[in-house]
Amino acid sequence: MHTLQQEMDRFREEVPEFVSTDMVNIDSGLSIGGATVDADFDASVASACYAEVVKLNRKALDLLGLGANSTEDILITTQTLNILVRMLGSNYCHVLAITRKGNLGLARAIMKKYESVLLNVVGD
Amino acid sequence: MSQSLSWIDPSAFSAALTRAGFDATQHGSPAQMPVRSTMNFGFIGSSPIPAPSQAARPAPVSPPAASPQPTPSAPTASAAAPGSAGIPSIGQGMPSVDTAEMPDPSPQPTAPPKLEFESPRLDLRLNDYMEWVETHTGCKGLFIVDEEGLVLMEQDSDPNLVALSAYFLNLKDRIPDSLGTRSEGSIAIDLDDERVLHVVQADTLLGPHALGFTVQSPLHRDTTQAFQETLSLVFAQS
Repeated sequence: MHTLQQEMDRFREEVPEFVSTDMVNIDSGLSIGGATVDADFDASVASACYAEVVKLNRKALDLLGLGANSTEDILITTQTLNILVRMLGSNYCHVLAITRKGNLGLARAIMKKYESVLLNVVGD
Repeated sequence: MSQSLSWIDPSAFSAALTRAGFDATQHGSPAQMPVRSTMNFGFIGSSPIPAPSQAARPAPVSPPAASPQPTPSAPTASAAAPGSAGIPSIGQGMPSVDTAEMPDPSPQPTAPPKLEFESPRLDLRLNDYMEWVETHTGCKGLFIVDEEGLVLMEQDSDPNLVALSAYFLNLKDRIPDSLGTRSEGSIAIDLDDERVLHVVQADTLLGPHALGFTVQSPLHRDTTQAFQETLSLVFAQS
């Protein structure tokens, strides 16, 4: 079995227009592994914030009666980047940043492809 | 029915009945006989003649020496001989058919050869797949979308057709509700005289995905089925 870092590196190689990725523990807000192509863009420092986004989204969905854990992914669109936050089990989320030239559909499909792999690695 | 009998020579027919031990004078001329009996005279059917009465039942009529089933082979010399009392044998008068010139009734193999993927990377596999589809169809405007309609890969595709394909796929998903059967096929829509939009949907390990493209004329089902199966294989190896 590959380590989490090896899987993250493989993932980085596969996503076109890749910028950064992290696997974040939602409860602690800590990144347990990640990869980036831009040293200035360290998403791990924003991991705690993304974890808070996920928690607040859960609360909102619960209030709406849609089910707190019904989210598949959250898309954040900025002027330069698209950021996808995908739920991994109940304790983790997978954060991916790609440039605006990147393909959201393909990025989502690749995140889905790695879902079971990453869950196996972290044992969730 | 009467039209199909019009070519039968009545004299030959009477001669054949006489040879079979049937007295035509008691039952009228052959033209007055029931059509079904006539049809059982070794020409079309082989089921027994429904007997009007036990006494009047003719002796069983043996079929001519030739094969009971009409065959495209040329008539034999004995069948064409004048000594055969003018009874048209099976195959006599039929044009000789050269079997080598006959079109093969089996469907032509239209499915393309299988695609071997060289890389585990999804983007490269999708690229290989799209090239493979394009090579075997000469199609234009290829695109692959996920179940939400997000494009995973496209090649000079018309965004309007991509959006339109979502409607067709929704329509296809309603088939089970209406007919109670699952639709496995693809969708082909005539857009104009020169373009047919094909949308091929496949359930993959990563959820439903669809391939769309335009061609000049609709493709054979074997071809679209091969596209469908191979699309599943694109997402199979993770």
